[in-house]
Amino acid sequence: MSKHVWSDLAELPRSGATAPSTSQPARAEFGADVAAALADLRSRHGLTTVSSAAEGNTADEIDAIRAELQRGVSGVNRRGLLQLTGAAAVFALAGCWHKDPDTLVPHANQPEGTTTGNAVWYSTTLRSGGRAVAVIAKTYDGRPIKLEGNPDCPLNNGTVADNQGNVARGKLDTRTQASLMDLYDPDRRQTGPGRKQGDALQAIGWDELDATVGAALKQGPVTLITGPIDGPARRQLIDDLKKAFGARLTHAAYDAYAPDAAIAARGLAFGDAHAKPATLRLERASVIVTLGSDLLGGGQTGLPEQIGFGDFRRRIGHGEAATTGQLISFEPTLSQTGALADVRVRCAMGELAIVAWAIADEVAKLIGATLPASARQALDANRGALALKPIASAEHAEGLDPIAYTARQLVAAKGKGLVYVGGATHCGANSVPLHVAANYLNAILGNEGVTIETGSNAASAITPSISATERALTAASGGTLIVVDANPVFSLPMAEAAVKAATTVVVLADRGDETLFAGNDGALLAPTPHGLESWGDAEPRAGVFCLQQPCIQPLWDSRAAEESLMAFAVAAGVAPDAFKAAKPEKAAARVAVCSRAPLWDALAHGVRPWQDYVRSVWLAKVRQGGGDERAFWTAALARGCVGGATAADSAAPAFNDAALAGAAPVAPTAPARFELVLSASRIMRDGAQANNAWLQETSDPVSKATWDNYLAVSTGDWQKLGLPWYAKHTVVTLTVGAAKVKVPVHMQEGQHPGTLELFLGWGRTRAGQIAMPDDTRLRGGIDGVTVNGFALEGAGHQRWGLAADATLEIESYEIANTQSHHHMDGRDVALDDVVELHRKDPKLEARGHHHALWQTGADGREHGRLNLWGHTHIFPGRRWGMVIDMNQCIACQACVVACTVENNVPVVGRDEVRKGREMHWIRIDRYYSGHSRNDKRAEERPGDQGYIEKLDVEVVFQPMLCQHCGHAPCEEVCPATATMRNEEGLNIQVYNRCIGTRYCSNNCPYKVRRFNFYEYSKYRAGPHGSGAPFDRVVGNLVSEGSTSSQAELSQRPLEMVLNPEITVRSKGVMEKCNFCVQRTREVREVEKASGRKHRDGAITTACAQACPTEAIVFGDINDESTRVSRTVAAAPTGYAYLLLDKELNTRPSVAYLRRLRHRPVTAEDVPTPHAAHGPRDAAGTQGFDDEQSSHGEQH
Amino acid sequence: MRPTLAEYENPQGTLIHPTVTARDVTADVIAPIFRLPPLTWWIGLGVAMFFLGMMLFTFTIQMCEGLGIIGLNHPVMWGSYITNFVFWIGIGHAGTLISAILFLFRQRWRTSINRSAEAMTIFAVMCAGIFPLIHTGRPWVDFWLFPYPNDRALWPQFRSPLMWDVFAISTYGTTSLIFWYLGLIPDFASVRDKAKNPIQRAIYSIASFGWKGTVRDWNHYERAYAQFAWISTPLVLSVHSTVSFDFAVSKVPGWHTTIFPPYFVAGAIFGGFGMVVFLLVPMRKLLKLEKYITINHLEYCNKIILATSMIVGYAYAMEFFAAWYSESLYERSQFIYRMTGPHAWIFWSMALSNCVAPMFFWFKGVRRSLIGMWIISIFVNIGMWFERANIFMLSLERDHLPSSWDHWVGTTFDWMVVVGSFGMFFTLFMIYCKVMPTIAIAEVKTVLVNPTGARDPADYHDAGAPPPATNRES
Repeated sequence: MSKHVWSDLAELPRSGATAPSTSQPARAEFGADVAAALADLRSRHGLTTVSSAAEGNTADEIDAIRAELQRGVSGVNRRGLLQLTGAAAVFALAGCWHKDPDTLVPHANQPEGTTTGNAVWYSTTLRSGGRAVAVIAKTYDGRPIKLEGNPDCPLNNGTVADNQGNVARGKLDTRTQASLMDLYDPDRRQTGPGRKQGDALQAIGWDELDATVGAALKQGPVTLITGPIDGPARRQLIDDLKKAFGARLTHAAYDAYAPDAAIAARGLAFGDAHAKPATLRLERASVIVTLGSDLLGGGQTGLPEQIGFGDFRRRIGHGEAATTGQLISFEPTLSQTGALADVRVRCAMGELAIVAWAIADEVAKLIGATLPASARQALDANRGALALKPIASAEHAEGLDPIAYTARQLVAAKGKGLVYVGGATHCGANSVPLHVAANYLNAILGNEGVTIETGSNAASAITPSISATERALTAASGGTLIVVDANPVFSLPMAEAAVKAATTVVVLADRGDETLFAGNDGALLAPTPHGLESWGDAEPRAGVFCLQQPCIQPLWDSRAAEESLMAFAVAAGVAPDAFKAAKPEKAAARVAVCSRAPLWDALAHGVRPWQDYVRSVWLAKVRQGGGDERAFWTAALARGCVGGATAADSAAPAFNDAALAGAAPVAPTAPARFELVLSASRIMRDGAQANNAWLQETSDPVSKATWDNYLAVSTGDWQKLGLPWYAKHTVVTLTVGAAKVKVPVHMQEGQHPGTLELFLGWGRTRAGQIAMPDDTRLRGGIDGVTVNGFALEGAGHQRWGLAADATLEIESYEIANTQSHHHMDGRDVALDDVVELHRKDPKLEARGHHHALWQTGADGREHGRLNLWGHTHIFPGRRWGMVIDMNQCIACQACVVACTVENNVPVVGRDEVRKGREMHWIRIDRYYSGHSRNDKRAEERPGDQGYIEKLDVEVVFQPMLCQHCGHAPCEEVCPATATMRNEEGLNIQVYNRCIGTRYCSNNCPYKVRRFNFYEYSKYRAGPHGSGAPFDRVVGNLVSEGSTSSQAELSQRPLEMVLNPEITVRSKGVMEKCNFCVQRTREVREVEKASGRKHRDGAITTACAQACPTEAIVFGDINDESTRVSRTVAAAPTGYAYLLLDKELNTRPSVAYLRRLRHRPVTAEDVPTPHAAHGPRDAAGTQGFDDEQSSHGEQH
Repeated sequence: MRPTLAEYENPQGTLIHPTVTARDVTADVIAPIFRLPPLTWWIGLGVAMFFLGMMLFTFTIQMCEGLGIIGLNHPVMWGSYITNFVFWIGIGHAGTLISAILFLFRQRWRTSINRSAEAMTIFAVMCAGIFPLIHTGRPWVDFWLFPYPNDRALWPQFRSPLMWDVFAISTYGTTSLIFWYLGLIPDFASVRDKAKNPIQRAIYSIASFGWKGTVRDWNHYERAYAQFAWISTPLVLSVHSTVSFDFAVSKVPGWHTTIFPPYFVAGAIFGGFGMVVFLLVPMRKLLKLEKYITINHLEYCNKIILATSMIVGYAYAMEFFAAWYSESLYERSQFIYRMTGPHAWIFWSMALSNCVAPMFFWFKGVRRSLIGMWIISIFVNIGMWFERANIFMLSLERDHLPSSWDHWVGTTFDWMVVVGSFGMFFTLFMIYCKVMPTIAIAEVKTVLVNPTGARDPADYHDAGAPPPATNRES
C-alpha cells in the first residue's frame, strides 16, 4: 500500500463524484472523520458545493460535520502527537527527582552589596551558659552556617604573646559554636504562642496572649525570673519594668550555677562591699592552685578563662630560660583542670578546707603572717588526719610534702598566683568555708586585685543568684510568674511547687520547657527567637559593650522576649513611655522564614520595637562624646563590640579575720560509705542545650563518654562496689538520702577512693527529641540521659559531701564512649617532658630522642627519605601544615565542634557511637599516665591489680586529625585513586570517586578516616542512634507513624545549617579532615585575583581558628617566615616531633609539641646510664630510635 | 571368591576396584543425572537455598541501608566479609592443585576426585568473588575497579593490592572455569549419548560442543588440557600470594609480614583439602560412588592435610618469632594481644583446629576412618575461617594508636552472610551433583585394571597376589 501524498488540491476527489466516507475504496484507509475533513476542505476552497443537494447534506448537517471535525481531529495529528510525547517525556523526566520546595527563598531582589555565593559576615552576640560571647556569623543566602569569635572583642582574644609574638584572636568556645544548631532545632516552638492544656500546648494568638497576661498583670505580685542580665539596654528594660510595676515586681536573675557561695564568702572575707562576683585573670598568673574545683569545665567559667589559661600555660623562652605556668590541683575527682595539672594531689572533698588552711599555714610561715585564730584551731584539730600521698621526686626518695611544695610555689609566685575555688560543685552553702580559705590565701599572697579581681564587673550586670531566685519564686505565690530565658524547674528542686502556686505563669522560651509544663493548665508560652534572630546587647566585662543583631529573619512565629515583656506591660496599662511606640503605624508585613507565619508587628500594636529600644539606649549610654548617631550605630553594628578599654582592676581588699567567726573554717563531713560529688557536665553545662546533637555527641574531655550521664567510680572502689572485672557495662542504684537513681557506671582512673561523681545537666524531659530518652531502653529500666543530678542535691544546694551508697544492679548499660583504651602501653604517642630537664637538655639528646622534622628542600622534595612516589609528590610551592602544642591543649573540644560545623560532619547518634562509628574529623585523644615510661601494663581487665593501683595518673591530651602524610599509607592502597595528594601538600579525599573499600582506613596508622556506614545526613540521629536496620526497614513498615521510630525524625530545617562549600557525603564513602580545603582554596582564588601572596594567618582551618588556647597553628610549612614554620624551627629537636614518622616513614604535615610538665623531676624521668638498654628498650621502643634499625629498614 | 565392594576392603594401593569395567564407570557416574534425586538431596538443597536466601536478604538490606548493618567500626573496617573472601579463595586452591599440579605430576589418583575438586574451586571462587564486590561502600560503582577507557582518563590505582586482587581473581576464576569445562566436554558427550529424554539430550548435546570422540577430538582435547594445566599451575601459588599482599603490603601490625605469601598458599591448600574431604565423604555415599572415590583417595588427601598443617603451624610460630625478633613494640603487642586479649578464643580455636586436630592423621587408622577424617575436616574448615578472622580482625582491633582501639562485634547479619556463603556454595554443589558427571569418566577409564571386564577377577585377586602394575600408584 503506497502512501499518497496530497500535493495538490486538485487531486482531491470531486465530491460530486464520490460520497466522502464510504464509496471510495482508496479512501477507506481514512476514517469518517478524515473523510469529513476532506469534504470540508473541499468546500472551503470552493471546489465543490458541499452544501449542495448533490450530496444530500443540509447546511445543518455540514455544520455538524464541522463541529465533529473540530472536536475529534483538531490537534491530534502526527506533529502534535510527537510534540505531546516529547513534552510528556521531558516533564516525566523532570518529575522523576522529586524535590520538596524550600520555603527559604533566596534573594528575589538581590540586597545591595551582596554577591550570591559569597558569604556575608555579621557581628553579633550570643549567650551560652548565661555568658555573652561576641561572635561573627557567616551567612550564605541569609542562612547563618558558622560562628567564629569576634576578633574585635577583647574577650575573644589573648594577651600573652608566644615565642613568635602572636596572640590568640577571635576565639570561640564549644557551646557557643554549637548553638548554631539550636537555631535550626526542629523541636523549637513553631506555631506561635501556646497555652498549656494537659500534656500539650493549645495554640493561641499573640493578641490573646497579651490580653490574658495584661489582665493578670493589672494586680497582684509579679515575679520576673530571668537569666543573667547584662548590657545597657537589657538592664534598662529591667529597670523600666521595675518602675512600671513598682514594688509589685520581684526580679531575680537565675543560673543553676550561680556563684552564691563565692559571693557570700567574699562578703565574709572582705566585707559586704566586696560581696560580688570576681573575675579571673589567668593570663597574669604563673602558679594556679585549684582546690576540688574545675577551673575550665566547672560550669562557672567560659571562653575568657580558657583563653587566659592558654596564655598562662604558654611555653615562653628557650633553653634554660624556658618557662610555663604551673597548675597544682588538689581534688577527689579527675576534673578537666586536674587532668591538665602539673601536680595533682588526690584528697577527699571534705579534706580540702584543711588542705587550704594547711597551705595557708605554710605560706604564712614563709611570708611571716599569722593565721586567724579559729583557722589555727581548726587546722590543729584536723591536720593530723590529713594523709596526702607525697609528690614523687628524684632528689627526695620519700617524696615531697604536697602542702609545703604548693606553699613554696605560691610564695615564689607571690602576686602572680591564684588559688581557685569554684564551679558548679561549690555553689552551695557548704562550700563557703573553702571559698573563705581560698580568699585568705589570695589575699595574703597579694593575688587579690591581680589574678582575681572585681573591678571589671560590668555596671549593667545583675548577677544570678540561686537564693534570690528562691525568694522570688516564693513571692510568686498567688501572683504572676514570668520566666524569661531560664528553666528553674529543671535545676531548682523547690521551683516546681512555686510554679504551681502562681496564678498565672508565663514562660518566654523557645519551646515548652519543664518550667512551663510544671505550671497548672493555662500556663502560657510566648515563643522567643534564637539569639541569631533577634536584637540585644551585652556587657560581658566592664566597658566592653557587645551588640546583638539578627542574622536571619525568625524561622518560626516568635517574638523577642524583651518585646513580649513590653507588650505585656502595655497590655497591663502600666507601661512607661519608653515601651510605647512613638506613633503607631503599620510597617511592612514580615513573615517567619520556615513557617511563613506573619510575624508580630510591634508598631502596629503600639509597642516600641525592641530594636528601636536597644538603639536608643545605646545612643544614650554607650555612644561617647555625642558623635554622629548614624555613624556610631553603623560602626557598632559592623564591629559588634564597642569599647574594650581594660577596666580598672579592683584594689586588693584586706582579709577580715573576724569573718571566720561567721563561718567555720572547716565544714564537717559525715562519714559515709561513699561521698557523692555533683559536678557540672563538662560539655553540656547546665543542660540548657540538651537538645543539641552536636554537643551531645561531643565526648567528655576526661572520660570520653558521649550522650550519657554516668557515675564515675574510682578504680579502688570497683571491687568495693562488688563490680566484677568483666562487668564493663555496669549499672548501680545510687542512694542519696531518700533519693534513689539508677545510673550507669564509668570507672574513672585518678579518682579518690570513696568518692563518687555524678554530673549535672542531664535529665531534661522537655528539651526535645534529641534529649529524649530511648523508650525501648527505658522499658528495660535505665537510660543514661535521664539521670538528673539536681534531684540529688542536699540542703542549701550542697553538691558535695553527700552521703551516698551504691548497689550493683543486674542490668547492663553501655556508655557510648569514643575511646576504649586509655594507656599508651609504652608507645611513643603523646610525649611529654619535664620543665627542669627541658631547661638542661632541651634537645632531649641525652634521653635518646632524635626525630627528624620537615626537610623539604628547594626542589620540593624531602631529603634523606625514601619516597615510593618518585616524582609525583613534590611541593615546591606551598605545603600546608600544622603544629599542635599539646602543652596548650585543654581538651575543651572547641576544635571538634568547629570542625563539625564547618565541614558538615554528621551526627551519628548514641548507638552508632557505641559501635565506634563517630564521624568527627578531629578528636582529642586522652591518655592516662602520659609519661610513657611508667605505663607498661595494658589494662584490659578492670579487676587486675594494676588497674586498682591506677589512682594517681598523669594525663595528656592529644588532638588527632589527618596528618596529611607526605608518604600517605592511605593513598598507596586506594584502588580507585579516591585519595591523593594535591599540589599544596594536602591529602585530599575525592568523595565521588570513592567506592568505599575502606582499605585506606585500615592502613591509616592514625585512624583518622571516617566511613559513612549509613546515609547519616538523612536522619536526625539522637539517643536512639540512626536506628537499627530492622527498625528502619521493617519497623517503619510495621509501625507506620510510630513516634518512637527515630527514622521518622526529620532533618528539616536542620539541613539549613549545612555549609554550601562542602559536599554532604552519602553512604558508603570515606571522609576525613582535609585541612578545610574550601578555606585554602579561597586563598588561592584571592591570590589569583589580586596577584599578591596571602598574609600568613589570614586563612586558617576551623579547628585552629576556634582553639581558645592557640594549641593549633596552621600555615605554609615550606615558607620559613610563617608562624607554623617558625614555631617548629624554634622548638628544640625532639621537643617537636612527627607522630609515628620514625616507625613508618609517613612524613606527616602535622608536628606535635610535647606536653611540658612543671613538676619535680622523678626517678623515672631521669635518664639512667643504662637508658639505651634499659627495660624500656626491651619493649622495643628504643630499638626503633636507632639509626640502624629504623633507617636500615627504610633504605 | 569375589571380594565385596565395601570401601574398607578396597585393596590398599589400588585406585579403583579391579572389578570395575569401563561400562560400569559410565553407568555409575551418569546414573544420578537420570535418577530422581533422593529425599536427602532435596532436603540438603532446601537448607542450602534457605541459607543462600539469608545472604541475599542481607545484601538487599545492605544496599538499601548501608554497610552499617554489619559489625564494622572505625578501627575494624574489614570484618566477616573479607574473612569470607579469603576463606573461600583459599578453599578453591585445593581444586586447582588437584586438577593442574597433580595432573602435570602424573598423580593418577587425582582422576576420581578432580572433577568435584574443580567444581569446588569454581563455586568457592564464585563465593569468594562476591565479597570484594559487596563489601565496598558503594557496590554499584564497583566497575570503577576495572581499567576501562573513559573520557576522563581515570584509571584505577595500580599500586593498590586491591587492584592486583581484581586481576588475580578474575584470571583465576576464568582459567579455572575453562579448565573445568574442558574436562567436562567428553563426559557431557557421554551423558548426551545415554540420555533418553530429547530435551536433556539437546542440552547436553550443546554442552558437549558436538564431541564425537574421534581420535582427532581426543588429540586436541589432551593437548588443550595439558596446556590449561600449565596455565593453572602458577595460579595456585600466585592467587593467594596476591591476596596475601592485601595484608602484607599494609602497615598494620600483624599484617605487615613477609611470610604471608607462602603461609597463605599453604593455608589455602590445607583448607582446600579439608573442604575436599568434607565434601567427598558424604558425596560418594549419596551418589553411590564408593567404588571410584575410595578410601585410598581420601587417605592421600589426608596426608596432604597433615603436611600443610605442619607448614601452617610453622608459619604461625614464625610470626611470633618474627614479632619477638623484630623488637617492634607494635608487632609484639599485637601477637600478645592475639593470645591473651578478649578475642583470644579466636586464636586458640585456630591453633587447636589447624595445628592440633590434623595431627591425628599421623595414625593410619584415623587417616582411613571416614568418621575420623570427616570430623577433622570440619575442624580444618572452622580453623581456617578463624585463622583469617584472627589475622584480619584482631590485627585491626589494635594498631598503632591505643586511643583508637576497639573490638569487632559481629551482628546477626554478619553471621547470616557467613552461613549464607556456605549456603550458596552448597546450593551450587548440590545442583552440580545432580546435573553433571561428578567423576571424570574418561579419565577414570584410563586407570581401570580391567576396562572390558574380560578377565575374571578371581585371576588376579587371591590372597597375597599383588594387583596388576597398571592399577598401582605410579
